[in-house]
This record gives sequence, structure tokens and C-alpha cells, in this order.
Amino acid sequence: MEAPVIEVSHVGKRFWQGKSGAFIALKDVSFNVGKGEFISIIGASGCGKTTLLRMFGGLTTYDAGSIKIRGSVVRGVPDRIGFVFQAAALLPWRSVWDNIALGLTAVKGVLSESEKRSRVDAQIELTGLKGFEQSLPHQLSGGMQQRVGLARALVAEPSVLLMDEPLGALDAFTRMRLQEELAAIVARTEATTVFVTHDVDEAVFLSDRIIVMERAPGRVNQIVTVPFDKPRVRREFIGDPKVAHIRDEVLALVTEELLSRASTTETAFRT
Amino acid sequence: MADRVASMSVTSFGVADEVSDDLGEPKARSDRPSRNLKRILPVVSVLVVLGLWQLIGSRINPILLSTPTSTISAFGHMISRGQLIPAFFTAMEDLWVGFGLAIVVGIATGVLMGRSEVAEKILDPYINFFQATPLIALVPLVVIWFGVGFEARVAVTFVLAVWSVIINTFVGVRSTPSALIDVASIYKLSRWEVVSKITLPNAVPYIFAGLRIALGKALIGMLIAEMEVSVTGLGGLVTNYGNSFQTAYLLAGVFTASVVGVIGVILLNLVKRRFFPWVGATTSEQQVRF
Repeated sequence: MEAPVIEVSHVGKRFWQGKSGAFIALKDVSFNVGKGEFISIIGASGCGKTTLLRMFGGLTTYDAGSIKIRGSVVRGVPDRIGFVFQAAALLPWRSVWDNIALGLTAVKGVLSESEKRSRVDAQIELTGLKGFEQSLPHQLSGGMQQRVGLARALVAEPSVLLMDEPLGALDAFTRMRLQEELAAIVARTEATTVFVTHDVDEAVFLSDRIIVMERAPGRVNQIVTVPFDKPRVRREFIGDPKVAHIRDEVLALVTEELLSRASTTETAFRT
Repeated sequence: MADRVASMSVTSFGVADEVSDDLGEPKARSDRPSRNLKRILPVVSVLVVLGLWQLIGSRINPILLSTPTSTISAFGHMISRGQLIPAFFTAMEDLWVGFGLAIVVGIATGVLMGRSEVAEKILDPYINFFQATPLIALVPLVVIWFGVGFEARVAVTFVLAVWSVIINTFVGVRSTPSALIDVASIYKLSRWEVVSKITLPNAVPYIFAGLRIALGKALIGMLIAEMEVSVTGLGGLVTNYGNSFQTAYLLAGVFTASVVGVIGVILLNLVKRRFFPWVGATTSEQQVRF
């Protein structure tokens, strides 16, 4: 069996907050992600799922355990990763084309100008942005903006794709359509994908495995496998009782944790 | 420091009365004549005041007020005597060299302070001090240092204008959304690229707001310097005609100075619209988050 692409072992993280002492954001988190696998991390606000994803991207440090990507310990931003941010995080002053081209900053010098151009054009084609190359972000809908965010993450052909609730801010219909497109696009790139979400249906539809997290302290509750072939067609998928069973299982895990903690104080940390 | 940024005219609410008509209520129809009235009111107002000025001015000592017509003829005389045009260009030169230096130095300093907390802590006391000091009081010192020529006028203009540019640039750089800094990290932008591609463009709306304020201050600096340091240019004309009680000529000089200011504002707006069309547009953050 091939070595895992991402190895998380006993990772911990605490935030110091003045007099109240330390808040344990993550405690003893361990799991592996195999090559080409699509995993989702799901859990209530404050369970540390975004913190964990940011650690994979080298944007946040951890203070216990280790995270390895392609065998080497993550210190700083790893090479060949793509990151899709919550609210697209596009540069408002750059056109769609130029925003996507920003994704090639790290590999400039390696690519010739014409290679660079054809890479960006290919991404525009793939993410359905043709005709919008010269638009500015504020002229696009939320869904279109997130397509740009995805194209920017994919243009450097990353082997690991990290996504932080990329569809979280979209309306339900746009969201469903983008889920399908996202599944198709990611499948084509064959990138190993970690997808943070708080939507159970989304996680089940997209993932090979779902990591359900608990909070206070943030830790892995259970890892649920979604053993269905891809590509998945939503219409067949939704009706399948076996899918419904898995969905209910994940939902139960998430809500059970929420209910059991309903009386405790609400934590106000970033998800 | 953020509270010191004045007039952040980033978004415009000027569309309000255009939109109200779309509600289609009967009330909208009765609004129409009043809307036309609103449009001509400023013109009427100016005409009335000019008329009153003419009326009153022609009945009292011309040294006290003069009249619009004699101001206009004074304007013509000053042009035909070859006085006004050179004075205008001297004023423009003083203003734009001083203001231009303030733009370059102000933006550079603001970026440095915005990107480096050490630089901020080192420079902050001076920014506070000079913001609070009536800088006009430094004019004699400028004369001691630079004499009474072009350099001194530029220095006064610069010293008045630079602080607003520094502060607004600083705040603009600091206000870069953390998500964009994350983007810079993920795509491994160099330190210089973070400034040139992320934080400086992010600061542009703030910088333009600062430049509007700084332009007003630069105009004051330029005129004071021309009045008090060299007695040249438009400021010099105003001073000399004031000293000889030729009020119509004095006022013609003052209005020409206004023209210099208006040209400055128009130029700033042109540059903004031509090169930074996205300024004032909603950013992706504002649109998607709720």
C-alpha cells in the first residue's frame, strides 16, 4: 500500500487567552489521508476543524505531535498545495484572469510566459469562467467568485488541495450545483483533498471518508467511511437507503455531541 | 490611530434620491418638480449671491468689498499685464512639487509603518507630535534652513501635506483583510510582492481619501509660503494688492488660487478613475460574508 499523503499524529494546539488560561483547540488528533483521497472534516463551531486545515497549509502552528505532508514535517507553507478560502478571498483590484494567475506566483520562473497563460486559460475553461476573464470580483456572484478561488488553487496543479468551507456562504441551489462541479473538477485533478464543512449532506456527497470532530477540546470523535463509487450522481445518490443510513449516522454523531453540550457555555472561536 | 483618518469617502450614498422614484408610489410623481427644483437651486443660489454682492459692493467703499464685475475686469487686467499667468504657474509648480514629494514620502513612510510594527512604534510619537503642532509656526525655521526661494516654498507645502498621506497609507495597509495575507502566504509571495500586490492596492482607497485632505493642506502651505516667505506667485499677488488696498485685484488672485485647488481635485479624481476603477466597489469579503 502506498504511503499516506498527509499524516497527522497526536497533534495538539492551545491558545492562550489572558487570565482565563489556555483554551485547548485541538487535543491528540491523529489520522492519515491516502493518495487521491477526498476527506471531509465536519463538526460544530469551535471543534478546531479550520485550525487543523490551516495547520496543513502552514498558516497556523501546532504545539504537540506532528503533521507530515508527502513524508516531510510541515513547517511553513508546504510546496504544491492549493488552498480555497471561506469567502473566496480574491483581490478586489485584479481581474478574474489575474486573480487566477496569482496562484502561479510560487512556480514562476519554472513556467514560461506562454505556459503560464495556457494554464490559466485551461483553469478558466475547467471552472466555467469563460467570458468572465476580465471581470472584477465584485461584478461576480458569490458562486462565481468561489469558482475563481478554486481555479486559483488548482492552477499550479497541487497534489494536495485544502478547502475551508468553500461553499459555506452560498445559497442552497448554487451550493448544490457547485458541489457536483467541484466533485467532477477535483476528480480530474486527482489531488488529495481535505474539505472542511459544517454541512452533513455535502460531506457525504463529496467524501471518501468523513472525520467527525468534537469540541472543547477539539478532537476526533469518529471517522466514517462513505463506500460508494465516484463519480456520484446526486439524484441516484440521494434516494439510496445505504447513503441515507450513513448520513443519519454522521448527523447523529454531530448532533449528539451538540445536545450533550447544549448546557455548557457557547465557545466563540473561529471554526 | 484609526480614529485619525478623516473623510473615508469610499462608498457613495449619493444615489438615494435617484432610487426613490422606482418605488412607483403616487408620491413619486409629485416629487418630480421638486427634483428639478433641487437641481437648479445651487445655480439660483450662486446667481442671487452674486447679484447681492454687486448691489451692495457698488454702494460701499470698493476697498471694503469691490464687486463681481470689477473683480472680473481686474482679472482681465492682470492677464493682459502678464501678471496672472506666470503667478498661476509659479503656484502650480510650488504646489505640485511640494505635494508630489508629500505623496511619495508619505506613501513610503505609511507602508513602512504599516508593515513593520517596529517602524510604527519608532515613528508614532513624531506623527502624533506633528499632527498636533500648528505647523505654520515652523515657517520662520524653514526660512532659516532653506532661505526665501523655491526650496523654502516647497518645504512649507510638503510639511503641511505629508502627515495625512502617512496616516491614511498606514491605516490602509493595516486594514488588509487577514484572508488576503493568508493568500499571500499560501502562494509564497515575497515581502516586496506582499506590499506591491496585496497591501498597497488594499490601501489605495484610503490613500486617495488622505490625498484629498493633504491637497487642501498643501494649497494652504503653498499660499502661505508665497505670501510670507517669497512674496511671489498667487500668494505674492494677493499680498501686494492687499497692501495697496486694491480689493478687486486681491479677490481675482484669491479666485485664481481656488482654480488651482479645483484643478488639483479634478486631477486626483481623474487618476483615481483611470487607474483604480475598482476603488469604491464592494470587495468580495463584504459581498459574501454576512
